[in-house]
Amino acid sequence: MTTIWVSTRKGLLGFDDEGTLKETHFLGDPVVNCLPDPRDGRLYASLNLGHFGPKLRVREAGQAEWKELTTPQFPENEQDKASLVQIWTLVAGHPDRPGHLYAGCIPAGFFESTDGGNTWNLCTSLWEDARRKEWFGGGYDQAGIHSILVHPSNPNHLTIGISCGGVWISQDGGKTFEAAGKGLLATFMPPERQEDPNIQDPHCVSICHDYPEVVWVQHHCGVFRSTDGGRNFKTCAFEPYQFGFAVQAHPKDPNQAWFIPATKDECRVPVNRHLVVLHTGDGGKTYQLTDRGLPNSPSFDLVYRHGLAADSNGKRLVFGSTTGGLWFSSDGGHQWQNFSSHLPPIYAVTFAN
Amino acid sequence: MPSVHFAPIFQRHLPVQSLEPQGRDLSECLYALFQTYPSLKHYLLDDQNRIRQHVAVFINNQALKSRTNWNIPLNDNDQIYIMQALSGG
Repeated sequence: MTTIWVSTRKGLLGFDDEGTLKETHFLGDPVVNCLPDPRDGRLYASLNLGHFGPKLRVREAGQAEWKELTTPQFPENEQDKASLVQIWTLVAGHPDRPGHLYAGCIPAGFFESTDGGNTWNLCTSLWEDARRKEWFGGGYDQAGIHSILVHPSNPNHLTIGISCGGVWISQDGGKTFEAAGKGLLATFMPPERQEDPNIQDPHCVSICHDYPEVVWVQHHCGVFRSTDGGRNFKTCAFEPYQFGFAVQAHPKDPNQAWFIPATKDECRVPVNRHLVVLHTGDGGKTYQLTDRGLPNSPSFDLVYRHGLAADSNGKRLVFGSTTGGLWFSSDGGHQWQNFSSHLPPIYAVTFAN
Repeated sequence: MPSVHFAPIFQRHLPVQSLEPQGRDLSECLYALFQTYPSLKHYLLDDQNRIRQHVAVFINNQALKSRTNWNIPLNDNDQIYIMQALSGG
């Protein structure tokens, strides 16, 4: 049975793929994201309690109770006096590495756990890299890591996205990272710095599971695609639909990806207040817009970077908006079905089988 | 010994109850609390051991002024209130 987990401002909601709300957890508490771990059936939830800070909870497979886990923690008394603001993304390690988890955080620390979230280690080489001092916040006061992608056939190959700090690649399982993302273009920067990989704002990074050398980026300044694992990118001419937060690569077809565009960049509502899903099937050369099943009336739905997801076949998709709309497609995004228009603001959606 | 009281919101997350921890000053009292309730520490303190921005601590009717200086002498009949600051809601 499939569960669609919806992380919201007021709790974690579990829908079936017919749109029935089956489970509600942490009612009233902000849930930033969740991770249904396909390796062991555990369900992790990252909360950000307004008063008491970020929290991490886990529910064992088949159990009803949640247990509190330790959150990643920044070193005491270091120069930055950093403190965890949010676990922005939580990702399962490679299937060959049970218990390995990765956390991308605000501020922009990359943490690894090898014991299912009981303990965490900060990647100090990235944290202490002098280039980090040039990163800045994108949507939050401090820079953060929102995308962590594990190469399907190489457990040591990780790709991360930082707003605003670019795309970085690790070849050693997250011990060290190198700056990548050549070709990304930050037009909000002074001309001399617009191509600097270290100051890019990739809102979301997504890789094609079956062709992991294909990497898509929904960037602050447009959509970009790489065919060499994120080292070099080329722009996709999607005007006037260049801005947005979410991107979902098709898991099997390297030429397909979905986006939920918005008006750039002070306005941040759907273009012409008309909510559409943008799909490309030719590697970003052209695009098609779909609004079948989406609102006919003016819409203010913005979809955050973790608010769009596909299942492992690329047939079923789901997205959720800041104004509490949740839509589902069972045909690759051609036709959409509204599951609800009355949910709390949605931060993230994901499929679990 | 001083008494410590928690706002009801804590019960949503932790099984804390009012108690009278050993301590001659606020710092000793807080660390005695963390001995009794280990999970409480990260609800009250951030990674740098500062009282979280949206947590409020009162000693009797006076709000704690500093998030880091807890060397405040306590009397046996002092009442410590730990609550959520409305700014964080």
